[in-house]
Amino acid sequence: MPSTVKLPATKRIEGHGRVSLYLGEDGRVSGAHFDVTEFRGFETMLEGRHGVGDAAHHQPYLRRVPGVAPPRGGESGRRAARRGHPPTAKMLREILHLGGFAQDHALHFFFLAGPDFLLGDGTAARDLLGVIEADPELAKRAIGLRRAGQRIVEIVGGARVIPSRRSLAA
Amino acid sequence: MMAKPTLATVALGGCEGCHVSLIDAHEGLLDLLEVVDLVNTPTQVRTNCPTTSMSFSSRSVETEADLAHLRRAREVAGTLVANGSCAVLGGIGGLRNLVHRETCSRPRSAQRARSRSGPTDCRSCSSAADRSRTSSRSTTRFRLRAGDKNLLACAMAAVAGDPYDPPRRNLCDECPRVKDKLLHHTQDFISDNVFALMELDQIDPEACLLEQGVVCMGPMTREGCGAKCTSASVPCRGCMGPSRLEFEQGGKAVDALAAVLPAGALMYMEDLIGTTYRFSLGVSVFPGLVDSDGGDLDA
Repeated sequence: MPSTVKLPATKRIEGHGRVSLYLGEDGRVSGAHFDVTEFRGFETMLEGRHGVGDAAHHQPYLRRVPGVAPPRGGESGRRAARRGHPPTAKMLREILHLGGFAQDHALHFFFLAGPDFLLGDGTAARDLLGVIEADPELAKRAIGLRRAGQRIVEIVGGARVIPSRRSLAA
Repeated sequence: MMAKPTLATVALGGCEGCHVSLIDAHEGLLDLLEVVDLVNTPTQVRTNCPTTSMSFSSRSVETEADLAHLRRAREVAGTLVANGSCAVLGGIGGLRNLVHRETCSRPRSAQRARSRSGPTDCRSCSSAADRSRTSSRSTTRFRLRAGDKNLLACAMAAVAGDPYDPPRRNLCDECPRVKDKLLHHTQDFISDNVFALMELDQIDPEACLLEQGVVCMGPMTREGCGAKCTSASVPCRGCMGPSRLEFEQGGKAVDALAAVLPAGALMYMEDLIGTTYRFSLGVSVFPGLVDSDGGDLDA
């Protein structure tokens, strides 16, 4: 008989979510539903906001949407504002994003979702602590990769986590 | 051998940047793991909230579920530390306190077009609290900016039982830019006009940004971030919160800047609230003064 399996909380992703799996008569999954269970109100909050000294008005706010990869948020603001950019700024921004990808993808693979593949079934802790314990050398190399990516973001953007100088890159 | 103290991080409503800061400590995290057991974070598998010696709570209370989660964390943690601008000040999310919750929750046409998860009834919005609130109302008050070495220093101090002294001065003391006109008593304003950073013909890389006529929140903001933004020639926007002894960061901004910059220019600033209360509206009395429901200022 059809039933629903509810997973009330998600971990190892950015933010809060809830998953519902719908099982058909044969007990197989016939559908799935993912709900975001967070609320911040950015859509309304940004109405009427301007930035004195900020190139694209909503970038500083939008950088705070994704905590794992803030340069991405700023980029969405720039694109929504349809800001043009000189070639130098474009190149600087690409470097910033490449650095951000390196640290963000390394975080996702080695510490968040990746442990499911790296550590396999039956491991007590399929998370970053599990990786540190199971393969400390790999963990150190992953840390090194993230540090390198963040250093690029810091040099171009002015700060590791939320690069404010991104505004100067238009 | 005594068991190591246990540490958890509690995730409410926000961007997770402060949680990632723990991982961003890189090798420092390994040092911390030598002295504590990290028993629950959003980046780990475990889902319940165990009893811990110490918990770091980040993000702000946005929904009823967040409030329940925070109360549970307060019950089970020996020491609860409010970590980050959202937890202590309300953060960016505090800006939604300028409007009614219903205004925030109404679906936008763009959401209808792109949503793949069915009708936009926005289930999380229905449980949204009337106002965004900080978690520091029920915790020890520490202000730790995401990505900063303060996080580790505070954690290590708490583990060792040492007192932790948050920074006491404002950003101008930490900022390496050269202050000249600001330090001399004069009847004149320090700049003829107020400029957006992009409007300057030449950005002097050494001189104070306020002296160049660019609005900078440094005088109203607590130090401790390493002055990364001003060192990169980007004016401070106050994410470390109001300086010690102040709690109305925007009010203090108008008060302080009106003394040194042409007041007419401040009046014509396009978004005074977004600039001066960007991170601290959650702890400001301002929305409550305008409308006791924290409602729409235009209503």
